Amino acid sequence: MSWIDLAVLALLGTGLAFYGAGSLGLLRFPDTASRLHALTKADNLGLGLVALAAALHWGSLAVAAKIALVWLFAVIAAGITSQLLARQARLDGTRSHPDGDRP
Amino acid sequence: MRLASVLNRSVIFALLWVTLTGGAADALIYGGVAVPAATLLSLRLYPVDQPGVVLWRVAGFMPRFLAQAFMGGLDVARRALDPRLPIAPGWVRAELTNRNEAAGVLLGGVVSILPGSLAAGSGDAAMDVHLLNVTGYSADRMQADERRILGLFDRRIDSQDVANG
Repeated sequence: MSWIDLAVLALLGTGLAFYGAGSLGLLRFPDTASRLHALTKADNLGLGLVALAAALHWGSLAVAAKIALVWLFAVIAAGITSQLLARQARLDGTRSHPDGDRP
Repeated sequence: MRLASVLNRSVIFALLWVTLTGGAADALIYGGVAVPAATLLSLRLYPVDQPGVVLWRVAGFMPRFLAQAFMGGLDVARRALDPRLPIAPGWVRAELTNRNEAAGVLLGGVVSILPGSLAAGSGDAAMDVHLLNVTGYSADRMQADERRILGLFDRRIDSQDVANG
């Protein structure tokens, strides 16, 4: 097993750990907006690390550029969706409690 | 100026297409449709008379963005894994200095990447921000982030400063 293979395994393992932590946050955090923190931030990082592992595994600049773009598009899409969901959570929270959805 | 902006956008979409398809010859014909369609849609959604984003400034911002994405993921993973669940979530309304909607959306995206904060849309020169730890909010940090985002745009953005009416 080469150093590259080891690095790929380490990046994949760490990436999956962040996905796991994001999912755990989704289950443990108390309100909608807090859950969005877990999903967007931890999963963006997990995807970034898995993408880095894939780029290293295939070892070509063209593939790496494609994977970097896919990551960037995923981050943009996640950023926009989480803003829309957080907006709705904010509006729902304001309607039910005047101070917002504090637990 | 107008033609240059249209060409700029076409070239960027063409580069994206070639990168995503790996330059495959049989994909070029679809690219011939997709690139003009994407350019037309972008011109309709964000006309060239709007303040433009300066690409090299965005490139200069990327290292900071990536470092923040890393810290943001690390912070939320640490909180999710901690048995004591160290969070005190709450909302703040952050005042902005500029009314431009595109800058607001971009700022929201960056704020949502930062450790502990999540944007919930902006309007009327203010942004609703959700915090995982509401006691740790810093209005100064938010203002510094807004200045950085406004700095990615060309000078036309200044006309939409709150101070300019």
